[in-house]
Amino acid sequence: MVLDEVLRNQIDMVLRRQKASDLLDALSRGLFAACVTFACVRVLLGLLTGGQGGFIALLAAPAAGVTFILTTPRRKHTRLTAARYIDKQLKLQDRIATAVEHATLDHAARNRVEAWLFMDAANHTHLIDPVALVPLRSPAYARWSLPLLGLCVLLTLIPYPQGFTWQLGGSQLQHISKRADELLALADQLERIDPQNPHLGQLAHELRRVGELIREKQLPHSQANQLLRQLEQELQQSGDGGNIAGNSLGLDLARVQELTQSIRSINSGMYSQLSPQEQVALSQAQRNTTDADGYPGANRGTRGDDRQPEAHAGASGNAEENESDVGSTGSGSQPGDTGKQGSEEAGAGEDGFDPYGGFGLAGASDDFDDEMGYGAEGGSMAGTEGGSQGTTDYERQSDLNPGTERLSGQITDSGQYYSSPTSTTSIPGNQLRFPTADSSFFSLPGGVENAIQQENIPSAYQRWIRDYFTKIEPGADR
Amino acid sequence: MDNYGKVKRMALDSVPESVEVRRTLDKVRAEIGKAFVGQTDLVDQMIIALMCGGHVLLEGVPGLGKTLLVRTIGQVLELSFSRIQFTPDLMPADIIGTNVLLSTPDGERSFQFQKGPVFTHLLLADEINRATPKTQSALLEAMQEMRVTISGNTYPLPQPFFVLATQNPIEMEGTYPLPEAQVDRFMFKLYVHSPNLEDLRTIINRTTGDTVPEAGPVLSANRLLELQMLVREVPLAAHVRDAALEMVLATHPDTSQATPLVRQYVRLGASPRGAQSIVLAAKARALMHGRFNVSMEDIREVAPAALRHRVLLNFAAEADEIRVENILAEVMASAAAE
Repeated sequence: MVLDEVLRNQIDMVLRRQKASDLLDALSRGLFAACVTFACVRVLLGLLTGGQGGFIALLAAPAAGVTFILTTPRRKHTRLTAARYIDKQLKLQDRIATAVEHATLDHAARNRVEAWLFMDAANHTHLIDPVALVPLRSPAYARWSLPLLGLCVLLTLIPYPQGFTWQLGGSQLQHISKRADELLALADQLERIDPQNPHLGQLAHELRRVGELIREKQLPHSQANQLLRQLEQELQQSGDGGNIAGNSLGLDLARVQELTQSIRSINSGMYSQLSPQEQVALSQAQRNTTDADGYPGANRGTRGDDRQPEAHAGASGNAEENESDVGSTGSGSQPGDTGKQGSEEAGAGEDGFDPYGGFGLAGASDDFDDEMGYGAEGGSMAGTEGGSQGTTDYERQSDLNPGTERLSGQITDSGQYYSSPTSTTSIPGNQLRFPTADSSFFSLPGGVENAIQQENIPSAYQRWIRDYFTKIEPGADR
Repeated sequence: MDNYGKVKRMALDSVPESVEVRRTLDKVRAEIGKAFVGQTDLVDQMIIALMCGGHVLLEGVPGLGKTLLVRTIGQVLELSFSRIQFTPDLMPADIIGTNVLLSTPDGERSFQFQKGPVFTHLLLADEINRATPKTQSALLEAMQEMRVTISGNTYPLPQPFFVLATQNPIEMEGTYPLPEAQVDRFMFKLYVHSPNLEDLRTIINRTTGDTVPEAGPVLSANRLLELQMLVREVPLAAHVRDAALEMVLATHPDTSQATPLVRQYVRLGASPRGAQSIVLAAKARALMHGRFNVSMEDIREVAPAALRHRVLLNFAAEADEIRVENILAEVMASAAAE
């Protein structure tokens, strides 16, 4: 006598449903654990970092869910355990389990009572309904999974207060505060350029807003760093007339570009008073003057697409010859207003202000390592190293102007006269442009600060020097 | 290797032997009920002990029908019945018998073994705790080995052989508590309780009338022996067996299964005989209830009767008035929770 096959099939069906139910239970637990983990990690990191950590939470959630599923001890289901479950649910007093167990025993001879037991168990087969016995229901706590999922979505969307990570990294905080001051100073100076210009006002407003955000510590330092870097990049690119790319910080780059174009249009008004030759001569003179004064980084601040037109008018004089060089630049033998203008601007270069500098915050490369090595250094004071890009330009410039020519002339009572073939060299494919004077002006505060720090100026005098330079306004010389 | 296949679906009623077993047991209960009113649990446990071939220790105050129950069982089972009233001056020879000197008409004299009252199927040892330990111990070999040894000669006892002993829980002066070895040989220790109002009314009606109902024979000795063999064939699932063993181990204070009360109040737990008694009695109970397997319910039902006289309490239990029943209730609850 053996156990009935129909009974065995019913038991096996119960067994399969038990396994499926356990799997469902494990998945529900995993989902629950994942949601709880996500919520906890998201909230914790969000509070710590001021809204960061969403991706980490997204990674931690499935990891926690899978770990929970794998580490949760699972019941081992066999035909015997299924039979015991059936007995318990149907109150069959261990009939089925005993029959299943004894059916697996390899008796030499089965006794009478065992045979009666198999028959008795088979007679109870009709009571076994696998679907009713093992309903595939998700556990009670799984009901909370959906609200938890909603909570997780909500937690990813809600704004978080300022993170505690602001309290970390005091040195970085100082740098950021310094950047904020510089941004605000830059905004002030933008407004002084042309208080009536709405574009400049808009740009100044944007800069001031960002600066205040940083100063009020409403941005995490990592985000502030990124913001500053990109802002400087945009400004630098704007000042250089390069492409403006990327707009991930909420700053309207199109507007920035538009505003910087406005700035350029203001500058062009100043340069438009000069003839092209005068403009070339002025630029060359300014550069030479700056180099001669021992500011090797001054010229390097120009961008690659800001290559200076080479006026081979012999404007390669040293600092002592500045004024006369400029005077003879361009037309070759016409001292006059233009020369005066050039000497004045060159003089500004002697004082440490690089007229070729673009927008930028001084010392950015020092503070933010190599990530910040933009052309802003070109506007910095002596000792500031130029970026690699500027260095390349400098070498290119040597390629364009492999040698200098000596001027010939004579000194008479009426003045000095020089004669030299005037020629210009154009860079194929590039448009020749001048760096804007006003754009260079914006690097003034940073340059001043650098100079003050590197020259070990006593703190009592630092304010005087700072005030002196901050009072310089481009519009006053116009 | 699994043994599965087509089972001919038939009602167990169509199997004559299984039907006959159940009917016989029902008849036994019904016949006993004619003379012994109420206390069906006690009667059932008595029948279970008989089906297992186990001895029973009945405890109850005088006048509750202990002797009547034993005598009725003897009548129903068609078994020879002897009664020994244990007293302090009772001697072992009064129980097991003795060699007597006989003289033949030829003048020859010889010793001849005179069988004592122990040579019977059903022995009622009334108030067994009033005899001296020496006399009590005379039953040891008879209860365990089903034989008696006198003067180097061994005499087997008739089969089946049951000892149904009674003891009075009151009037303990001048009594001799049974030695542990002898107590352990009783399969069950059963309490005889006072009848309730309904049972008492029935008792009065039956015994004070002009006719007293008598129980008739239902089961022969041979048939009872067959039933005893059948009981041992009842299948027992491993998890049910393990539950019984866990229960027995739980009565030992030095085991991991011990309950808090056991650890505090028990001096000695149940012996392996206790586990044997539980399993065998559970099998008999299953058969009596028309099942062919032992269930957890069977184990739980028979365990107290099989364990209560095997668990020895310490002095702290007596001081705190803790009874064995309290401890066994905790053990049962612990087993049920698992």
